[in-house]
Amino acid sequence: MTIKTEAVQLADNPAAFFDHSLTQMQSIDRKRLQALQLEAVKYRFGQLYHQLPKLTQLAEQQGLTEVDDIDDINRLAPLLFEHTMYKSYRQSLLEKHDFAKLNHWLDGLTTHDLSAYDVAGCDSIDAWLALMDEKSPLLIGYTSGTSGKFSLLPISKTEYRKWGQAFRVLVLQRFGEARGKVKHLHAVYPGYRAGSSTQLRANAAVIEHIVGDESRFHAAYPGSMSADLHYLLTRVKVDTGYRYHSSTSPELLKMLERHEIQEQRKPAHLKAFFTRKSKELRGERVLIQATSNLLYEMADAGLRQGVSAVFDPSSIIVTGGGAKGTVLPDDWRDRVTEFAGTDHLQLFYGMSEILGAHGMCEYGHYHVCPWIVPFVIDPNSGEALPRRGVVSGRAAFFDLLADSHWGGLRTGDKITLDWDGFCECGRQTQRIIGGITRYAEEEGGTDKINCGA
Amino acid sequence: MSDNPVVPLIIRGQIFTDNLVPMGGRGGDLTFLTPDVNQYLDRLPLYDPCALDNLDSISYEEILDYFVSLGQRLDIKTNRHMQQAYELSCHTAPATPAVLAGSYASIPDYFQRDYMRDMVEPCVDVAQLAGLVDSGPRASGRRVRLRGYGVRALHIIGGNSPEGVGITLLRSAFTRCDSIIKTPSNDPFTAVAIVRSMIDMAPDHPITRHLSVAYWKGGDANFERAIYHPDHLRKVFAWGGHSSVEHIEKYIKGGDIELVLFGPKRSISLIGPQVFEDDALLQEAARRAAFDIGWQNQTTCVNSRITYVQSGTDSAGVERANRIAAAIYEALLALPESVSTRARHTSRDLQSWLQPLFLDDAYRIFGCRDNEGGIIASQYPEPVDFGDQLTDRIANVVPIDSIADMLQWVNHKTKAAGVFPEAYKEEVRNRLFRYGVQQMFSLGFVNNGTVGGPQDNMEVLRRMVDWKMDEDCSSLPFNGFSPPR
Repeated sequence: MTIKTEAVQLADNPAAFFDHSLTQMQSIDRKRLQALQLEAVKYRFGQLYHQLPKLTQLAEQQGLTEVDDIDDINRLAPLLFEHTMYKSYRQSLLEKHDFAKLNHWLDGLTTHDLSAYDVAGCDSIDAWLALMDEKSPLLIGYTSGTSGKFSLLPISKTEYRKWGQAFRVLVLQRFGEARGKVKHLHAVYPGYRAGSSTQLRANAAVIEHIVGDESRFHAAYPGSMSADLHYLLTRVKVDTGYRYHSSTSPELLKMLERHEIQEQRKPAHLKAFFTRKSKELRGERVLIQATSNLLYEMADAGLRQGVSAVFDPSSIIVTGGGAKGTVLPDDWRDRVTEFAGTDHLQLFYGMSEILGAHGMCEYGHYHVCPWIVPFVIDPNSGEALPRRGVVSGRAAFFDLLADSHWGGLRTGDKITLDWDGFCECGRQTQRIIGGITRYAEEEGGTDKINCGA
Repeated sequence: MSDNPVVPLIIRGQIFTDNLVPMGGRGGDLTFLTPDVNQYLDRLPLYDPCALDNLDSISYEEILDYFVSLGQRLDIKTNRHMQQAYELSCHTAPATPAVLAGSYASIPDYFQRDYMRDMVEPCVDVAQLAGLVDSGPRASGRRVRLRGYGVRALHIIGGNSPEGVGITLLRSAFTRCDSIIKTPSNDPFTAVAIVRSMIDMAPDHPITRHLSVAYWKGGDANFERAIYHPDHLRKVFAWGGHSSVEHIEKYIKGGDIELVLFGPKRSISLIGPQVFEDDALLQEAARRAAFDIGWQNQTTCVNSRITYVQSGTDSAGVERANRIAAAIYEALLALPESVSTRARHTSRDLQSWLQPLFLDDAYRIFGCRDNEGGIIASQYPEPVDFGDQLTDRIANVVPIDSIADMLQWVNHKTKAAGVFPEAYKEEVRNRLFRYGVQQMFSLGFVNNGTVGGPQDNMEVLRRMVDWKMDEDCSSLPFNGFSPPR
């Protein structure tokens, strides 16, 4: 098999390429992986260049139009989309529910033709997304940033499926351990069961690829989160007066008021939810996905009542950190694992736009998924920094899995990447040294006061 | 640590350089050393309000004289404090060295007698700032005497432009306040340099003796709990809006200390349809618009971010707006170095918003590629969604059919509107003021605002003092508990 054929296999189905084994994913020879990634990047560029109008334009502007121009991975850096690409539509289109124009805008970012879908009758964001979910090959996901503007991500059903297969491996397995037969798993999730945000869309993948049955997915709020409500919440956050905006319907305003009451009750509700689930699922194998502060609160409440080792020892806890301003005690992990009865607590670093999650090893470093090609970008010049040594800068990634949208993304995160070193944990992949920050926070800085800021 | 510059702490004429702690240094910024303010809590606040009495002995004319003399000493060519501050500011200020040099060169202008008189006299009766003034008998027979008393104030100043320091010093002196100036990390130097020049000139003068300049990291809870106390602080004036006071609002809530917020604000330009009748007029509009965008590299709140052009919004109208956008871009590049330069590097946040625009036929982009600034010309009647982040002389030109089209984007955060031609103001003025614009000027005069005018909808000099009243009722019969008739 030639390296080109192998590279196509890596890109087209990463989970299968590594035989659905986390140990294999993280043990691939680094030189070989780099060669594969270069070929795979060329494969994707060649495949998508003419099919994605925004990529075509960007490539032409950058004078990079031939696959063979990419003779080095860093040559791809000018073609990585800014994370703002996915919110570069006109906000007024979303506000006026002009979904035909939004589809037209999305058409520049996906290989699928969205012009055929009649969305003129959609009178809400929910209605538009439901119609697209049903009829199109896409599951358009949104993320709400701090800017008050949604990112809209044209991720396809096929891409989600492949990602689900890979996610299963990342979540269920531990590096260095052989895959064994596992018993049924229950997922415990302290949020909504469904919705169109990329975060909530992942629940469907958890059900399909990880727990296997809807009945084993336990959400604190069994319903669906409305995208219209979410949009309103995002706007109200940056502009408190927005709730009275002319585009806010009375029904939506009612929904907002109900949501605000629900939010007030949330701490008590979640506490009761965890208490109930730790009784119902006692001794069962569970997967808990939650922010670290929620996990800690759950554990602390349980341990204070003398409850510990609640679940099966093969249970899994997944967290992305996100203590949201609260400072947790140093031993928060120990408290959580003591309560839950499992020592399998996995932290991930990832982002909605990239179909991958970089798992933290026991030494506190994030190991890059082998189908995600990392870049470190000079934050000022925007150029890719050399791929050697230990380098700090803006994180960018190319997601090889993406086959109907462009996988190249420049994030707003500041990372430090060790290109040459090998981690004591034994994983062969490159590592992102722990401690990732947002450039936006740094630029605002403390004490930089401007009258026009 | 020995290579890092020392920023002294100044307390009422005394200069301190001991108890140094490192500050700054985030994101590659300059690290500087400054005394730990926690060690000076016993003397930084002015505990006795009657200590302000010595300011009553100096007249308005003497204050003018004092600052005229000071202005003559602030020439950066000869003043070593100013030279040092300029050199250090080049590492921290958002503006480029050439633009900063222009700003520093203009600092003495603030201390010209006419300028200062324009700042004070139209706003407030100077006699009322110096003592109780009898306003004559009222209809009821009472005599009322009024005075605006200077107070113990704290100023959280901005670091984007050194001019803010000059304005703060003048306002403080004319209102006979005792002021503590809390400097920002993006300019901890300029205020210290000017106040040190005051100490060199007149170390024992009451004006010198009522100014303190300190840097501490906003959020230093131990210190801020102590300094923001109503027993020794009456008013806080904060530039930069919420971001500058988020740490302290908990100490001043309830109104025990009066909090006055300036900004942050954004400004706009409006160009009337008349300019399309005459190419010379169009070119003039473009040069004026470019100046208001590029002055000081668009680091201040009065700089224009969005230029609305009443060009029409059909394809011919959009083309007309594009024509003026192109002319503004050319004029931006032609601005002299002391006014505006290419950016050291375009703001990262803004850069990331720009990339998608180059791939979108909803915009035409002039420049914006190489830190030289540029114009984003909207091809439909809407500004970009990230207008608040426009900086480094990148602005947005938006075609409109009528003024009614753009009012939805005007609000209380819209500080100033530069308008051209003058006659166009008649059409737009009332609606812009009603919707939130605070001041209007002739396009191209961004650097030449009326200093005596209101700032952020406030008469600041009047706001800086406490208005006190002494009622003399001795000509009226004492009625005991009977209601007055």
